Amino acid sequence: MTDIASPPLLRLVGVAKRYDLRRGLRRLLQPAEGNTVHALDGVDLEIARGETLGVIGESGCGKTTLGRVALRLQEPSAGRVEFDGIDIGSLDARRLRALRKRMQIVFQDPYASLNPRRSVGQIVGRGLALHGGATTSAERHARVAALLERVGLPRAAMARFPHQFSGGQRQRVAIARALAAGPDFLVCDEPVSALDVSIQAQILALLGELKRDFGLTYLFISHDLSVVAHVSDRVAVMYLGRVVETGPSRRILSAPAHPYTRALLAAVPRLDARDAPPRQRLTGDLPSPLRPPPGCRFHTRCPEAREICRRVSPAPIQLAQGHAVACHLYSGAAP
Amino acid sequence: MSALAAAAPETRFAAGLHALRANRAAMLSLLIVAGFAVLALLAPWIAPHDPTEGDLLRRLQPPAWMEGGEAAYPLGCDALGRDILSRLIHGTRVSMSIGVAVVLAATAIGALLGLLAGYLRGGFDVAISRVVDVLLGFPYLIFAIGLMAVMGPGLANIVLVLVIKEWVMPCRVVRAETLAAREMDYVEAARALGETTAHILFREILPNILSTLLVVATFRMAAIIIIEASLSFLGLGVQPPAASWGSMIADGRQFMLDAWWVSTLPGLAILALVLAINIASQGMRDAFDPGLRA
Amino acid sequence: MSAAPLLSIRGLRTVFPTRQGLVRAVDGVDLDVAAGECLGVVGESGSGKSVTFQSVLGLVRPPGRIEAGEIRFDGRDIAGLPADALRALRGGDIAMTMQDALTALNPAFTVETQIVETLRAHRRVQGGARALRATAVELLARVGIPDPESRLGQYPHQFSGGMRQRVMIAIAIACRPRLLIADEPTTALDVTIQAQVLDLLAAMRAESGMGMVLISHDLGVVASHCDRVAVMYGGQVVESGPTRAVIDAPRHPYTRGLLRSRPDLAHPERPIVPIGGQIPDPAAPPPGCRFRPRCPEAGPGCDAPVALRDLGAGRAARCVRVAA
Repeated sequence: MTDIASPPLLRLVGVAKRYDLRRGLRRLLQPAEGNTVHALDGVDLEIARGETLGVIGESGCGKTTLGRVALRLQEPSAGRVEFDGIDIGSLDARRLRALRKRMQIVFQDPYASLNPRRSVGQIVGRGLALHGGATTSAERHARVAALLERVGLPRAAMARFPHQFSGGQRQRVAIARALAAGPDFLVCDEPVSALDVSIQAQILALLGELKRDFGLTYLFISHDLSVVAHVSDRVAVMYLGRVVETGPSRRILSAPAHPYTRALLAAVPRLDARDAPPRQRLTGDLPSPLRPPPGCRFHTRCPEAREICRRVSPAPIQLAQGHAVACHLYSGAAP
Repeated sequence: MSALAAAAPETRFAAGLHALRANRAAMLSLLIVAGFAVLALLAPWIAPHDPTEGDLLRRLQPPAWMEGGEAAYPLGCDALGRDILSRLIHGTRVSMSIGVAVVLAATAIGALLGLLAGYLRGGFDVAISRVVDVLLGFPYLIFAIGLMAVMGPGLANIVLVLVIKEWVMPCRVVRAETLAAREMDYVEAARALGETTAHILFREILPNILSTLLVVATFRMAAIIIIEASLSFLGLGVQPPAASWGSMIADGRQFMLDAWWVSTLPGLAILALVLAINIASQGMRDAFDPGLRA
Repeated sequence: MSAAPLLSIRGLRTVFPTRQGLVRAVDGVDLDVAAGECLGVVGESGSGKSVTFQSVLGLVRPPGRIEAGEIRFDGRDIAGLPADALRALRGGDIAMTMQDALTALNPAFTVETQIVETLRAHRRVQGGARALRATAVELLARVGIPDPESRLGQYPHQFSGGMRQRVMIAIAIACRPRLLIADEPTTALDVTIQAQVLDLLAAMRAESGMGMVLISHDLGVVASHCDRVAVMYGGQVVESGPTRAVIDAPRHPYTRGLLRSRPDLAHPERPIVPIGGQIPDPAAPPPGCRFRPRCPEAGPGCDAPVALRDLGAGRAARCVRVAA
């Protein structure tokens, strides 16, 4: 598994991302408050080399933005993203392009992530052309074929177009495209959520094999706790732009600390009712990220909210090695 | 692993062609447009007479099927005794070449600016969008008449003036489509791979817009042909003695009651070509626009 | 089952003509729902689970059509019913909720209008506008929408996804249906909201004693809420039986595969075993057993058509290798 002593491959320090919904003159006429989406708010995360960090949360929690910001596909509004010790926010366009070789992404919807007008060979070949050092077209052709076979597609797939494939096969093409660049870090943004159950397992198994064979590091984003728990070494639970709990995935499952994590676990439909933890249904809806509640973001739905939760935003507290929770319930329990 | 899904072995383009071929009205219209194009290309060889050379003895000679007509001048002659058929054929050349030139130039300019505005957003987008709004605000003919009056008539000037106004049409469409396309994950994936902006614009986004662009271009070509005819009718277009459908109608105006064929026949030519182009592009839109197909 | 079931489907075949040929989206489906029972219908895309119940409600879009089979509701064959008779049945005795509440509700009308319309169409409430409005308020309150009086006047887009699903459930139960068909009621929702909606559906059923069909791709959803389950694959029911029994001891290889390919929170260390291959193309289904190309246990005999066989104890499976 991971080597604790070595520096993390990816480190996010105080990363925030806000979207101003006002355009043009409206910036002068309307207040920022209520018109700004707080997608990420002070996120600190580290991913060790070779590790899979799972990020779990519901819609609007900022997990997708987190993946984009981690690759600097979007610029953070505040904070720093370090990849292998390099502050990627400081790179100019040329250096950033060169670094893209090492960090790639697989998207949720394989129908939107493959250009319908480009053949599978063109799609997968771009990574090699840009970063792979494959100079001759014959060499590139051979390597695309090898990559396709590696992700479980026949060579003949090269000449075909995305619409000729099923969702699961398209996701394999998307994975091959990401691999072609030769990355050591892969953001998987809900890679199986759009797929049928029997196909999900194929893709999860493939991602597992590739991680072993290529020594990859994953940031695995999903709304599905069972999937995240299955693939991840560590899990970060997000709620409305903040990380509320991080810890080894076994520990998050067996001893969830944050009331939100507990509710999330309880809400997952189980095959066997006897496995389910005692019911702890959340009431109410997710607050709008346009107007996040003050204090702890979760206090409006938290069954254990207290006075302080409405005012003060809780800082992360270490509960055990690698297990931290941002919740006032534990403010007296810090080691 | 598994065999490939047995999806339809045809591309979307092939499916579009299939649908187009099944549309009889569109196919007939395409044939008519192609016929006009052949006339335009081969005008000097097809036209039986010199379109500018008149024979005053044949002044307002009626078409062949009427009393006083003769087979050598099947559609009769105009006030200067010029063969109307030959002038129509040469007029096709003027109409179609102006239509094609304006549409090509406007589409190239408009598509490029639309791609850039839609993809880069920001100040460039705001600037382009304002210019588009202003140009759209001008009535087409008044804009063209004003500019032509300043620049003087002539084939090159007509093309220039029409392009100055026309590029906003493809620009608007391309900008809107680019705004949608840039949100697609395949564009994000290209950025994540480190592709250049040029690659993303021309290799990732543009191919997905081409069919829409084609439909817009053909629709606009019909409009341009009408506008060119209007300008020539007003005397601001192609100058005499060269033949143009618009100026031919203008020439025959005063003889409408005595020699209807001088004005009516070029009018019918405009009607036929514009109608054919519109029906053909409607058919193409139905065939290639996936949004309208089940 | 001794008493006649509330809904009984026999040999249903629903087809869609396409350019690739005739697609049999539903091909020989037999299903029963008893009064007051909850039947879970599980399947992946193309399994025919939604089309089956669109056929029941006469909602199959032309050129799609019911080619064969019998659909009995309360003993009456409703498969060939004329449009207006079906309309009276829909929203009256049988109601359906859709996966996507945003498109299923009309964006141009307030929630009040849409509930009142349904009540009026089926003449279930005596009295004037005031009585109708009172019933609408009561319905919204019953599905757990806070402050129903004021929310009644709002439009669908002013509700969150979970609240919209509740509104749709309110409309569905407005006329006290005897059968509620819930088509993927929670798929578009976040997991904590999903739990709320499933609880609501269970409560509505307990309260009114209506029969329910819960269509889902998630065995977990069905496991916790349904008495019986039917697993569909390639337009056919491949296994059915009491939920607990089917999950504890699945008889069809596809059901077994589905269970094994699902990560389980209770046993995160257990490896997941994918089912290989692709979901069959509905225009060219494999001859014989639909699951044969992906089945690890396939052998000779699997290439002939297989019937759903009764295994006793209310169970059935469509597999030649399963002995009764």
